[in-house]
Amino acid sequence: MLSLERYKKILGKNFDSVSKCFVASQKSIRTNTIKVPTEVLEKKLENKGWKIEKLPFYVNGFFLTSNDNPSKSIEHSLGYYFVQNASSMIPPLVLDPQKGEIILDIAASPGAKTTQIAMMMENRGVIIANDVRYERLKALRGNIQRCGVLNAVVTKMWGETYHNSGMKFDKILVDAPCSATGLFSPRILKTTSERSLKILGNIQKRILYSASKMLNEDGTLVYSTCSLEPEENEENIEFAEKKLNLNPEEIKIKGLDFEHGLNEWNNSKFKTETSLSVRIVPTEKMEGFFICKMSKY
Amino acid sequence: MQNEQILNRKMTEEIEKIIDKNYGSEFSLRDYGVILNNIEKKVKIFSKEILDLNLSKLKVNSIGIYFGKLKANDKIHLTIEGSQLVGRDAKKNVSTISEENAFPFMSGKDVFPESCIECEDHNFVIIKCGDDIMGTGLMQEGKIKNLLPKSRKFYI
Repeated sequence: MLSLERYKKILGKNFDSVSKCFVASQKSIRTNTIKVPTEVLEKKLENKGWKIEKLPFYVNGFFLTSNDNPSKSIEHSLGYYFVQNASSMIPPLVLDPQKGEIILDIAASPGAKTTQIAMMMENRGVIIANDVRYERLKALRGNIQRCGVLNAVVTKMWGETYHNSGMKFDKILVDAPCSATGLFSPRILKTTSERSLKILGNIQKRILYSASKMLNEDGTLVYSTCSLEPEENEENIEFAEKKLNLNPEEIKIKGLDFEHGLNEWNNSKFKTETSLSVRIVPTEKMEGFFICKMSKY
Repeated sequence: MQNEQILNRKMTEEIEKIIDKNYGSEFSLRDYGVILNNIEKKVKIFSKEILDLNLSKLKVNSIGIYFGKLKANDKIHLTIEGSQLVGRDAKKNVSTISEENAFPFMSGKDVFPESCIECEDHNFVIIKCGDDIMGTGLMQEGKIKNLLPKSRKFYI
């Protein structure tokens, strides 16, 4: 188990508010504009008596302020929206997918970001959605179906060796498998150890390495985790910059409240531009998240 | 991906004819890539741009979405997504249900239609409720037999 002192250092002035709240207890949804325009869905949900509040940074996202179960509604079953934490909507926004591009989501299940990317591409171009576990692929395929995503190819491969395929992509999302400490749940914090962080950090670096090999020269790679740990975040960005020739870039999303990536950890300063990364502080509305946008240099 | 083949234009036109015959819809599959599973007779559709990629070195698990299943006597059972695509301009075998029946229908119950457009007994019908297209059911003696897959039903 990791100490609370550690989180005081990571979260700084936000530690008190984070430790007192029930992180991400408020649900959020994203309209699936492949099937329905946002204004139409908004009206339908309001007519049902649901209380919704627009996300300040994304026109297709809503917080649910009433106590309804968003997974059990006709609109959900018909694929009109995706139940997705607001923080998890940010990496596709940073990736900024365009119609006609070839994009890889290297750790895609259960498909919240894949379906968001496909929707932003207006079902044009190609998104390759990968995962290695059979049971997770089932959920991914189910969500692709429900959302009516036509431009997705689902693959079952190890992310760490994906580059052996020889494929090249315009954009790659590495939403890496992680400790999930961004949820700040006692159960997760209890089972996370320095050893598990080291193992996860190695896997994440290997996936980043593979992704960097497949990125086109002028391509964009977005790295994200729902972890608070510098070992899974800033340390990997430093690795990517030093060893993989990836260059962190500034992230600009209007209306998004965030902290910058850490400049130092464990009494040593990062020598690269880790502060260009974005840290989403855990709140009742949003999970803790880390996002970094990188390009090849 | 076993037993699956990408259909050529001629084979795709055969499926378009079946759609037109059953639903009176001029829905065109020309804009899509179409895959047929020859054993299960399941039809999948996907964006044509996927055809431009060389996927030979990838372990492909699936492509696109499940559109419908070909049945005996030139009938086709459309999925929710298939019915949402075809149902926009369907003029035949379209059944409207009341808002009161929408919830029971999505919970897996058989329901009575409020109105029907040329619904044939023992054929599949597209279910509409207001502006929503909710999939297909089987018309049996004036009642719609619920064919929603488990994964799309919700339980009260």
